[in-house]
Amino acid sequence: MRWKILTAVVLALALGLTGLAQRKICLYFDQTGPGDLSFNDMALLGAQLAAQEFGLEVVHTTASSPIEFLSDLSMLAESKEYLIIIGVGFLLFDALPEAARLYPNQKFGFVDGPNFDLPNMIGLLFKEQEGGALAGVVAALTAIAYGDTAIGAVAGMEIPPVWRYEAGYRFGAHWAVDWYKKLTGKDASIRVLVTYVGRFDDPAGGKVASEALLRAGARNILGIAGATHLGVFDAAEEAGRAAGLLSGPPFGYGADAAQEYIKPGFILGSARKRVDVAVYEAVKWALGKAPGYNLVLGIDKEGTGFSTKEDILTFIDLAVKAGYPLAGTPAEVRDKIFAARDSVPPFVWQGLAEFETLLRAGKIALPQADTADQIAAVRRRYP
Amino acid sequence: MNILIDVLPVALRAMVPITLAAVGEIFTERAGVVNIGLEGIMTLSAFIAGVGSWATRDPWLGVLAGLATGAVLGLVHGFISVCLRGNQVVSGVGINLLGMGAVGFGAWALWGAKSPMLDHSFWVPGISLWGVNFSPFVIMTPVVVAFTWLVLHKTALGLRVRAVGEAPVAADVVGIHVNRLRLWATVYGGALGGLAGAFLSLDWLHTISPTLPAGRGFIALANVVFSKLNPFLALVGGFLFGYFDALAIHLASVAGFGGALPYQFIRTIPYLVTLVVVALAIGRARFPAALGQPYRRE
Repeated sequence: MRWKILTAVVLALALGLTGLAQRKICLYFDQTGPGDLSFNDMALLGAQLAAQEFGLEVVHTTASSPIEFLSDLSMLAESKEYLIIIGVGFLLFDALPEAARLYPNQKFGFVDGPNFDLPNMIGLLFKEQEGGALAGVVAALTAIAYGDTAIGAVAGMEIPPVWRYEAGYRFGAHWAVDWYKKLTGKDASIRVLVTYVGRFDDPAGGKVASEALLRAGARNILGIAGATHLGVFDAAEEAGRAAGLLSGPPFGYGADAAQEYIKPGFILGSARKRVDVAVYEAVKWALGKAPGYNLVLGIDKEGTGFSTKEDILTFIDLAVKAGYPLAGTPAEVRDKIFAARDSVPPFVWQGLAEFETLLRAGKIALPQADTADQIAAVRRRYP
Repeated sequence: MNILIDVLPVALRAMVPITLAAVGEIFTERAGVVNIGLEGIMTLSAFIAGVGSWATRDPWLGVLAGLATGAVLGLVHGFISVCLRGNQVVSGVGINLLGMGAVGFGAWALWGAKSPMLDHSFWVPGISLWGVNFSPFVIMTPVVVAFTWLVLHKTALGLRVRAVGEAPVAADVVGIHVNRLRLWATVYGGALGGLAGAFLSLDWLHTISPTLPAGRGFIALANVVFSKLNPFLALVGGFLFGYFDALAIHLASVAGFGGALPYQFIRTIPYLVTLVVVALAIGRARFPAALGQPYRRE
């Protein structure tokens, strides 16, 4: 009898200890969840990398509807199983801080959302303006090179991360026009046309909006709308093929991930946002003792940027591993993407490099766009 | 004013899914069955059509696969609501949830992405007429509309279909198999929904996604009411909605309306126009008397 009690005590202790150690990372997605090969999958990648390095485990779950945000998060916190619960997506902006207030002993991370002085939460923000501005420079210079007078963007919902992309994009385009004048002495003018579709999951809306932009002469279009902007890529390829082209312009531009592999030849670049880096840093923070704060990732920490050839190869590799239906062999896809980059005049890349150098040196002040008033001001100033 | 003509090609494509799904639903409702699962049917059929085109390297076989998927889902709904006399709304909601879930999971399992894009070798090729490139579906849609109208209103079969929707008891008395006819009408409606789904993935958007129709299945249901269950009016409704939807987005994108008016307002224009047309020109719709009521032989 006694040995039975002893075993039970030992077992209970062992279970308790593993519970106390909290060796799990939980990712909580606001919508869609993994499988986008972009924003959400990058969050998962960052968690997996951290898990590997620190000997942890990754668990993830996706909200079925916004009504359940708070109850789901509470349930996860109540279980006391997790080292950190990381909410992925701006839509959690009410529920996640509320949960952090309710469970002060549970650490939280919030991708795309700010932390308002909560000691147990790390806010993971990005300077989306930077990636947007770099894309704006490339799009505007490419437009100038091919004689266009407009560039476009198809956006999802009016929320701060999207506003920041838009603000940067507008700024970058206007910077490029000035830079081009200094370089060549020639005047150019570029209008920036931005359409909000209102959803992140409507490729048809994205396509119709892109066709409108193409019709207005904007043949370089940035997508900042999740699955909606797959319609941008499709419109670009379809218009290109209808004109007998195997490569743009028209060009689409991706966001967050390096999305060039989706339509090789018709996507010139992507505004990067390294969600993986943010999630990795959040796990590192949770392992330490520091109080919560806002981690703002910019180009200085390689959290934002314009997709490099390395990025492109990484994401082709990721797509191959996932089993994505690529348009050809990985080598063919890579060659097509790089050929498109080589097909635009070199001054485009010269402008990009110069802008990036100035940005890294802190010599460029990008406009703020965290509120509706700020983005309205940016729209007036950079039409 | 060029913009009014320029959006025509976009509008013609936007018309197709709303019209095809609505015409199928009209046939189903004429027989007395409501199927609100159009959104789910379109979502799943779009996926299966994509898989079919990818697996067989023949886009038309893909279209056939989409059509068959819609027919099977119609059969499922028909079985539940006609044979088992289940709640038709619940069954329809179930099909919508099934479509979204199955595509999210299926595409992820097959291609590692919930919203993969299809390479152009999987696309349905366009047809060139008078130097203009047409989607074959744009041509097919009025043909399907005319065919459905002819069957419904000019054949004995159509008369029977309408009879089981209006007065199943009377139909039964004269020797019509009420439930068998209702089942087939539901299958036909599902098949047209499947065709609409195949159009979405293989012709229009070249994408698969758990939310691919993005509400167009529900707009098709509204179109059924708009058209007073007349296939030709459904074609008009589909075109009107598609046209004003495309026009609204074009205006928002280009004419600078985006700054002056919030996009939320601009996106309501097609709904407002459709509503006004219904209220002023069309009037009240009259539905089959036995719509939504399962038939049990006394």
